Amino acid sequence: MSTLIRDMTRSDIDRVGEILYDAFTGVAAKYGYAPVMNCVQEGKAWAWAMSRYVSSEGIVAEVDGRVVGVVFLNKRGDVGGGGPMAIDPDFQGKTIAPQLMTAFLERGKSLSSIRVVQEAFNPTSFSFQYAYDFMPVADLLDLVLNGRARQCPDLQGKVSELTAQGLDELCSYDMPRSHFDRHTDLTYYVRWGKILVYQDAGEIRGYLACLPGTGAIQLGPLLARGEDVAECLFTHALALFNDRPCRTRVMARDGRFVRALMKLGFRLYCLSLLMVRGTWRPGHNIEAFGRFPEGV
Amino acid sequence: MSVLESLENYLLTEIAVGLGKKTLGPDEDLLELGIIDSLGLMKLISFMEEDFGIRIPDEEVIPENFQSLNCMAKLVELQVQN
Ligand SMILES: CC(C)(COP(=O)(O)OP(=O)(O)OC[C@H]1O[C@@H](n2cnc3c(N)ncnc32)[C@H](O)[C@@H]1OP(=O)(O)O)[C@@H](O)C(=O)NCCC(=O)NCCS
Repeated sequence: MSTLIRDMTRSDIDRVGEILYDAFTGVAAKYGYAPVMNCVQEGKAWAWAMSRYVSSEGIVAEVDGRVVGVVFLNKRGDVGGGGPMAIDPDFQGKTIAPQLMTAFLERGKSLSSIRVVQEAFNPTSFSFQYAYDFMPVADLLDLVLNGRARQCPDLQGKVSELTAQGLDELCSYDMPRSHFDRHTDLTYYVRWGKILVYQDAGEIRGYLACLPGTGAIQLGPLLARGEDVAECLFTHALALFNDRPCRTRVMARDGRFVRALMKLGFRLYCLSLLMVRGTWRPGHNIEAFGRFPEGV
Repeated sequence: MSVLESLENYLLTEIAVGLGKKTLGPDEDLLELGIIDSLGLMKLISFMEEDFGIRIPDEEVIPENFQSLNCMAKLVELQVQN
């Protein structure tokens, strides 16, 4: 069996979507978790979105003319985001993943760090990434909210919706704190979702990006100074997307904030791990993570 | 098949699967209804480019152009003329 590793092309996209669907629903089912996608079209939509996303590069593995694996790299300045990575279940355990990983790391070799997020219930993926020096740097909680939030307290006019004009200012706030360049992501979120900004006395204290995704609204990335700001941004978002299912991924270390989200009606879907190869580490702000375009 | 029919057919079979929709009104707000979202949109754009032989420039990839079947049909017509 010889494997060809090459750049993903337009004609691969639907097939890549099938692999994302089969691999991720397969692993969720194996460990008794609800599927993250309801049908193969969701996988295809994800693959199309990744392939058209300006800062994302897809690499595929082909065996006997058939694409059987994929990985995406998102470069954000000096720090990259990896994933989703998936191998067709019929081809797992056949040394295809290591070949894809080698090509992926070669592509990202100029980056100081690469981050990936992986579900903690998946030991194969953990030991695979660990073998390539991805170290767990934070425990994450994948939270879901199905339907109406339980409470929406009064907000004091500190949260507003960002417009394209405010993007540069927000990036200047984000970059020194997150330590990577999210200009492309934030531009995308303003266009296709909403970015809520918390300001106090004219100074930005936090923001939350919200993106309607298949099935649920993705809440994140979030960067906020303090639990109160983070909670206020989430409360505002839930009021805005009243009655729509929402998903987010937050750091387990932010206990007070997590409890506030649980009070709002969020429930735990699973634990995840933020894995980093390189020197990047999360800062002291409250953070939440989105699924697109960073992947899983 | 008209542009409108072709778009409706594609949305129902490829994007809005599982939402229980059998038809889409020409002015129904597809973004508000959650039929098109940020992920599904990219797939839709690729279908429009291929099926109608057009190229949708980045500056036209704005929510207003994808709000309803009528908005999308207008976008297609405009790009065909260009
Ligand atoms: C994660 C995934 C891509 C890995 O592909 P795979 O074909 O299953 O991986 P492999 O069998 O080649 O490698 C995994 C195993 O080999 C080991 N391995 C692979 N390369 C290695 C290396 N260079 N050095 C040491 N160990 C290595 C890993 O430790 C692991 O061993 P274990 O499961 O016995 O502990 C695949 O399982 C998948 O698609 N899963 C579902 C989607 C997913 O979870 N994606 C990851 C998060 S983005």
